[in-house]
Amino acid sequence: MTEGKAAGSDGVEVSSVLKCWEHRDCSKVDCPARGATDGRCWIVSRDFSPVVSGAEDKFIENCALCSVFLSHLERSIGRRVSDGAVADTVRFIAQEMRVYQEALQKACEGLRVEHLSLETRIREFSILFKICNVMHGTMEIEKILKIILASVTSGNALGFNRAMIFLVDEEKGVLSGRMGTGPSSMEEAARIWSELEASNVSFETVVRMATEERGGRDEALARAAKSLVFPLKPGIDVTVDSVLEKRALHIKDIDSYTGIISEKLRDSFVRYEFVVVPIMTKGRAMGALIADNVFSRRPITEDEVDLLLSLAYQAGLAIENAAVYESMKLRLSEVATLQEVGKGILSTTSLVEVLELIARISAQVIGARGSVLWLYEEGEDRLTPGARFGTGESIVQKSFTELGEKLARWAIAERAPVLVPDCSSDPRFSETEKGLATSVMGVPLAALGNIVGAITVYDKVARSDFDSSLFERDDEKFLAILADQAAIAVQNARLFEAVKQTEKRLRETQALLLRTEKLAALGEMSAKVAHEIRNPLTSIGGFARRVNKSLRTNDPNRDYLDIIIKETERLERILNEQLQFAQLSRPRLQLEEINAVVEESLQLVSEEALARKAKVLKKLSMDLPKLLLDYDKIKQVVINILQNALKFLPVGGKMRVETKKVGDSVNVIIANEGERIPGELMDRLFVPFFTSGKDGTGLGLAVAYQIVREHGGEIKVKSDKEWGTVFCVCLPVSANQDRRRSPIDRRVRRADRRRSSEDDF
Amino acid sequence: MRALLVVDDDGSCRKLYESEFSDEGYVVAGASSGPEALKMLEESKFDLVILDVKMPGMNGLETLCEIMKTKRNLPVVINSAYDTFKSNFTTWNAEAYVVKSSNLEELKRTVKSILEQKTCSR
Repeated sequence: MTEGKAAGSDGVEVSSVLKCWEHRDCSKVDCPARGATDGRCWIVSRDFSPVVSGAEDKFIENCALCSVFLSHLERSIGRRVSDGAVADTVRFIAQEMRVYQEALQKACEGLRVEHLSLETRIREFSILFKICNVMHGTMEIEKILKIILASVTSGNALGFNRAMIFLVDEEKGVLSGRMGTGPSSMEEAARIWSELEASNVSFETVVRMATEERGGRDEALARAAKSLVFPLKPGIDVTVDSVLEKRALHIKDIDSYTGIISEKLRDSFVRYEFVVVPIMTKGRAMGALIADNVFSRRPITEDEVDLLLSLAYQAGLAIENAAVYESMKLRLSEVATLQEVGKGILSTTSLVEVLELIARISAQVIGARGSVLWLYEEGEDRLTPGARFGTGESIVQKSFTELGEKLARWAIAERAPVLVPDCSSDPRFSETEKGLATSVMGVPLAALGNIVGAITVYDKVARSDFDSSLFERDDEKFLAILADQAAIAVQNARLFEAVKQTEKRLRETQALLLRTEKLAALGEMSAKVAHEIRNPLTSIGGFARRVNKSLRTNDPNRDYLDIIIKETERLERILNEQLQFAQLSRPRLQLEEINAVVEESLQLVSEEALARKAKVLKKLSMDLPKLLLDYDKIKQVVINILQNALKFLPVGGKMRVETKKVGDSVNVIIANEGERIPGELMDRLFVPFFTSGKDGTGLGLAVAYQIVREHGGEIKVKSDKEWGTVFCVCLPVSANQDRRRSPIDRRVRRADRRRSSEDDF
Repeated sequence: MRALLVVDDDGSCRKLYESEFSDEGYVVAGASSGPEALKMLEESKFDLVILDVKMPGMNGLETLCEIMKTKRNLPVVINSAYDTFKSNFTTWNAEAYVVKSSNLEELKRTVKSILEQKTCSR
């Protein structure tokens, strides 16, 4: 604006006073110059500083629209070029100004709108941010759900009236309600709002209150939520549809909605316009969120739906994290338990302790009500309960043992875990069995390919709201790992016991060996002593005989000498037997003719036989195979038995000596007439010192028995009708007969050549 | 007349044998040790030796060995209180092995049969 000058040419100085063109009232009520009396309102002070602050735009605006000013302006056009120019300019400027003003106003308006929307956005983001902060600050699913609901319904956040959360249970294939929050009546709603308004709590406080309280005023809706379970199929309910279709469903008018709203949902929640959004994570729908404004009746906007979706997504992440965290915690605790088990198992080598530990841990860790640890003997197919653990009535536990045994046998037969999540619907159980347990599980214990037992558990107790009350695959996996450890532990404990037993037996055997050695040494000594005695005996007896011979028949001294001779003979017999017994060394085996042995033995007892006037029948088979035996020892055997037979033979009685081949053994049979030996005596015949009846030490048959055993044969005795006693010495024909000519055959044993008439070998 | 040599460190035994075998009609001499026996064998002719095993110094088996070196055909009867040596190959050079007993019948029989055989085989 140019320096204002008076319209006239007198060049009157500009006045700084406001003047109005229209003296009369004009309609421009906000013009500051209105009513000014001087008539020239567009005259401003020289230096253009606004006279009235804040009036500039009103000034220009009003003047530009003031008809008087404009008419004056018209009138001034054409008067003088400069005047007209001024007027033009002023008019132009005024027009321009108007345009700019309008544009500016529009722009401001636009900016304001944008600013508003940005503000909303920022506010929304900050709410989400706050919510997320709080949500991700906890790993407990319970708390997360509470936070979500608080966020949805809090005035500081999304500001819905009521909300409910559903989560998908994939194993069961259902969508089930978990939690709900919101007033249950108009009155309650009003009360709460006025409370909140008065206290002006922050969002964080709201959340804290929500997560700290347990139920409380939200009980009705929370309870209602828990009762809602929908199968995950289309056409069941709007919440399920939202999950299956993975999109938000905003139902503005519940009556005209074409989809399904189930009875149950209507009863529990739906009254008015509502929105359902799916809780998603990584493209997977894991639950749903439903919210409405039934009390405030405020319509739900698109923005709110979007915001709810964003929240739901964050919720999905948080829930998933928490679920993973919980499962990790569980796994970690299980691993820790396994470690504990491992350590416990390694540190106890008592089988009983190990078993009880395993039974206890099996039940406690997976949350079963009870468990039985079974031990299995594979060879005998025998299953015995090794240890038990259980809470609850002992009667139930006892009855479970039968069911448990059945289960254990299945697991062992399958060599794999057997999981029966629901006994009542399993046809393999009887009615009574079904009543014993709700769900059972059995795993075999296998170590190094052997089945050593099984663990059976029953009735799982849910450990938290999110834990199942039926045995699941994860429980099975854990028990299987535990079973592996347990199997090794059981195996170890058994081996340890076996080792202990073996050690014990070894020690016993060592002790026995020591004793035997001592005996042997004793035996050797007694042998030496016996030998030393023999010489003097020979002299004593020999000379006694000599003297006896020289006496007259009726000399009484003969009787005395007879006694001396007899006693000497007795001593010699004792010596013989003792020596035999003491030197039971390993037989020196060679291939021999048994008939030769028998013949020589008979010859050696011929005097005794003669004395008893025995009639000896000999029946020695021809063509008997040579036997691997110690000649002298077997001869001793035959002699001992012959002497025993003679002992029990009545005077003049018959005796039978036979050799024959029976199957794969050669039998030497010595039978004598006479009294039958009663049964119980027969058993004890071969016991050392048993038959020390008339004379001798009672070792003869014992020695014979021992020698025959060493040869791998046996002595049998029986009583016959015909024959009082029949002894049978059965010697095995060796599998690989030694047919080669041993170097000793070529010995210079002249005596041998005369002994048997048959060829040597 | 057959001549017997009884070798035994036990004097009583020797005396007994000497008496008994004399009664049987033999000429009997006695030696109390291995070396003495060998010496006597050198000096006189004997038809049979009755040899004890357990003797101090040179035992019966060693003596037997020595005898066999020079007089292979001389029959020797081992007469011992021990019967362990019966199965010992060292005694196989002997004609017989008779365990000592106060009843000398077996020994007498054995000596008799050996000497009879020898007569036959000549």
